[in-house]
Amino acid sequence: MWSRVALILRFKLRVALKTYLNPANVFLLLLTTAGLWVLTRSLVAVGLESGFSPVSLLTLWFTGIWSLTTAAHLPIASRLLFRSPECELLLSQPLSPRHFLWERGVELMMPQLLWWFATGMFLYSWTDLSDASGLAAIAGLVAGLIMNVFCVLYQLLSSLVIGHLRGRSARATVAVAVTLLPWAPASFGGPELGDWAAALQGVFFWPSSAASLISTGIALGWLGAVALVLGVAGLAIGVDRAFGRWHRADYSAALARSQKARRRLWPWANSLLRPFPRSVRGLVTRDLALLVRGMYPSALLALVGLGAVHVLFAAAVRDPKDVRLALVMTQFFGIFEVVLVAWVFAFDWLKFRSEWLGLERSSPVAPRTMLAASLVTAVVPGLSTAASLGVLAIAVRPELMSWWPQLLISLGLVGGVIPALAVQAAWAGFRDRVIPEETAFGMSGGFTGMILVLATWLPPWIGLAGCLFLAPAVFRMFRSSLDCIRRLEVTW
Amino acid sequence: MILAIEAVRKRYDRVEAVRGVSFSISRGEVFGLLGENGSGKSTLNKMIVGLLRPDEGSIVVDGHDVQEAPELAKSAIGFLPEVPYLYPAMTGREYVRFIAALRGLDERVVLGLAERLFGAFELGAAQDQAIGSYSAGMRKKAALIGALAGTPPLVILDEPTNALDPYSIFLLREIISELRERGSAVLVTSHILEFIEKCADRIGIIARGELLVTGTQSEVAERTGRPGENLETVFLNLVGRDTTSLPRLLGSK
Repeated sequence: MWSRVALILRFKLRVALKTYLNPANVFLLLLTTAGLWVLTRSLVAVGLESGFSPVSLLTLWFTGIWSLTTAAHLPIASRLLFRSPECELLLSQPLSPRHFLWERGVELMMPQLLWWFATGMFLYSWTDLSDASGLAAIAGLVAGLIMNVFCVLYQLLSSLVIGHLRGRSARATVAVAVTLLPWAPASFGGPELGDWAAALQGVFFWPSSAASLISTGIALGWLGAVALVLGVAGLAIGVDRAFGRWHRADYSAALARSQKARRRLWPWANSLLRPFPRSVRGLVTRDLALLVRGMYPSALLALVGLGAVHVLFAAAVRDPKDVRLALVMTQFFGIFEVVLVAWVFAFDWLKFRSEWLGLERSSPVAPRTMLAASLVTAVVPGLSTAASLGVLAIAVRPELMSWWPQLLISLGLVGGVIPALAVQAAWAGFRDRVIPEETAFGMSGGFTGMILVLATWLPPWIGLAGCLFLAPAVFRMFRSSLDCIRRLEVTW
Repeated sequence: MILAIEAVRKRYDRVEAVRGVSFSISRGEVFGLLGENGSGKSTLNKMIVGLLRPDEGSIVVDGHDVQEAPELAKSAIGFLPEVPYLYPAMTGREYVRFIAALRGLDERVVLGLAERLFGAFELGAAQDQAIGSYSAGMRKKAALIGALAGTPPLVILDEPTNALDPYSIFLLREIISELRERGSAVLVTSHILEFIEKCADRIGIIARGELLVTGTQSEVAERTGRPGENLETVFLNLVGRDTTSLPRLLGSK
């Protein structure tokens, strides 16, 4: 059996290496790693000044980074769903589901193992393995690893279910729902359970520290989020079925509904958008109607779940000496939340938009109009992010009311999120296809823009590290934009 | 007998997609399964290749029950799905090599056949390009070449003419004819009646999950009380479509 599993993996690896292993990507990888390393060391230095042990700081930092990697899992999770045709290809060959299970297992476990190895190396470089904190770190790593095995098994199970039953049965619908709901364990088991593992680590090994309280908050928050997601999944399916749309291309009915919603619910949106041409206005207001009509209950659920994390996290910090670190971490998670939620909105929404634009492309709407509509609608999640971030930042750090941090925040947003969304919109729209990986990287440009913003609140040398971290993503985004424009083949 | 389907049923929630279908295909026979959209053709194909489990009934391929010995059964099948999945980052040649390796076939033999087919389909230069750059028709051809790897005893073609140009459809008919000569059986599902009319030895007509009739084209015409009529008339009559009293679909002028 293993020879077949190895065979599939070998083919995939060869193709992946051929596709992705080029000097530019290696350079970007090195640059990202260097940036991450410097940023980590910098934050640790800040934490040490506050009197925390290296291990607890690193655990918290990695918990944060782990959450960031959730973002990287977004495209992977959606690919799991869309890879069901691959299941069809492999399972129609003389292979058993067991082959497939192991192949997928190894494929999913490798990055997880590498991640844990990297974490272990960081911890090793900071701790003395002979004392209790070193042992605690190792125990935490093992706990996390076990959690990861469970979460990967869960992912395997869900992807197999999708592979076997894709499409039409109730079970398949549930499987699809579980995979699509972004905070369900099927899609994000790794990062969430990583957080959970870190939390357990905190609870068991640092019982009286702020880290344990914070970790408990995170764990409870995630549990709450997962429970919420699973609990309301049935309702979401019901709502979707009631609307007669579960990723079906029921364009005409959806169009009719959205037009009705627009007429009834969004006259004010029309007035706000009056400066724009009528065709752009029509497209934008239709999108708003579709968004608000509850296309993405999953994103709302995620918001609730993450809100719970946030509240618990803030409540967990009681000791005044922990406040500085708590502020840093709260901001970190706060930014993470708002950006990620905005991203989820944009990601799911643009997938749908790509279908819409496919329809529009065959109608007498100029490409310029479509691009303008994409750009305008892309501002919506960008602005919501900006508003949330602004409120959060001012609540936590009143001195941010001064002009220069505001300017930097604005630049971070303008330089990150909005163009990334616009590129996504334009690309998805004009190429009639689901957002490709490159533009997901582009989106991470916006995401890491947030890190730059965060870095500006800390000493300047951390800002430099943020820039290092940001550079590859910006480069990717720039490349995506160029490619997008090149592919448009439109005379402006 | 290469394929024997016995009283197979499949239900999706409230919809019974396949209702007690039974038929068989002999070696060297081309069987055309005709049906409208949503009649259950693709569901049946997926059950034959083991992608879906029948609720009732049995499917035996080359003497092996698909549910009990799936690997043995599947090693006798070459399957071209309606919308084939191909790894976009692989080249056409790599894809064929991958399929050959998965099926445990002699790579040189498979690549030799693939080389001829890529050439015939005018994909000689494209076989070393990434599949992601292929058009829909080119993808279909590459998937077809993959399905023919090792010339399996049973080839299942689900809507094979979709996205193919007229010359490629002609080539496909030639390939089906050669498979028949070599003793392979072919199950072709399509709603393109002309294609089935030209290449199938026997046909089956499926509607709402039920296999209404099987036989040669003249037998089917006779059984449905339309001897001498063309396949289109027989088919539309059998599935209960009234084509004589249609209103003006675009309205009056």
